[in-house]
Amino acid sequence: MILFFFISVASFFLILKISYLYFNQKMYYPFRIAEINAFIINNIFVIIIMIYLFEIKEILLILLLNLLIFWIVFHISNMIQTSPRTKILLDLYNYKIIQKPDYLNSYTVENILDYRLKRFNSSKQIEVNNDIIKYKNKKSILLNLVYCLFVLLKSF
Amino acid sequence: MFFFINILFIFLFIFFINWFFKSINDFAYIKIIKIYLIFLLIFILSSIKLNYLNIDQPFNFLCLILNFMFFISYLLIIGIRFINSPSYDIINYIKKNNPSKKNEILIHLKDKRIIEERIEILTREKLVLLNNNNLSLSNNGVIFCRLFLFIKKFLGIETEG
Repeated sequence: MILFFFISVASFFLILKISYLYFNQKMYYPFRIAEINAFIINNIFVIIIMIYLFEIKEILLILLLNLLIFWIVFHISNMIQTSPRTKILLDLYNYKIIQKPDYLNSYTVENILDYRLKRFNSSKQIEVNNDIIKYKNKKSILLNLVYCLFVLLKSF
Repeated sequence: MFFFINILFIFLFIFFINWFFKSINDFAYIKIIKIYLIFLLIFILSSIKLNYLNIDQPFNFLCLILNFMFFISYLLIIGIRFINSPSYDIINYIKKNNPSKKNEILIHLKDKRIIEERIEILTREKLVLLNNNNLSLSNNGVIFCRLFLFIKKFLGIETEG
């Protein structure tokens, strides 16, 4: 069972890599299509095999573990793509050493705002018309779900 | 049974962390990791002593992996309790001032000192060193970056910030 779990993790990452090559960064907000694709395909294979090998409680445990791995991968890819702290660290890795004012001139609030407006616009949360930004209350089910989870965690 | 004990452990751990870290000044990822490892060690030893945990059973071993996975998932989202993401600030501003001008949002974000605040946090976490106004990575920062660069290269993700 343990060996099977590790094989299922390895197959998830293999399918994830192939999915990233195929779908690139395409999003179904807030997730990347590659992540959803890898999660679904891997679990279909895993469930088909597990039905013949394990009891129901073991199947559910492995599915829960797969769900957590998917959640962790989603957050880590988000951190790499959107987190300002990760961006600062990776920039400093390239610069080795830099004067603070120089760095604050190279990475600015304007950059942060532009990237986010682009993302919000493509996820249809906002509408940009010249310099006027309008909020649209249209979010996908998944985006609403993750948003509610974050609000819950913040108030917890 | 051991599965439910693990879930209870995770809940108790989260309640303890929420009680222990009340503000951003107390909060540090390294402290949470140390507390978790101490809690986990006590948990494993007491479970063995009370005959709830038998490592020879694969199901129990996977329950411990589940415990660790829950901890990693929690660690990745705990930060939002203390610091708002720029996306959250921007969407909140646009919701309250709908429609908004881009310049107004920019002024609002500049007031929040987003980048400066994050450099301060990274310095406090000892991932970044600030000497005579020079910024550089600490040894832990370099390890963290190498791990992230490996994942970034593996998945082919662009860093936007």
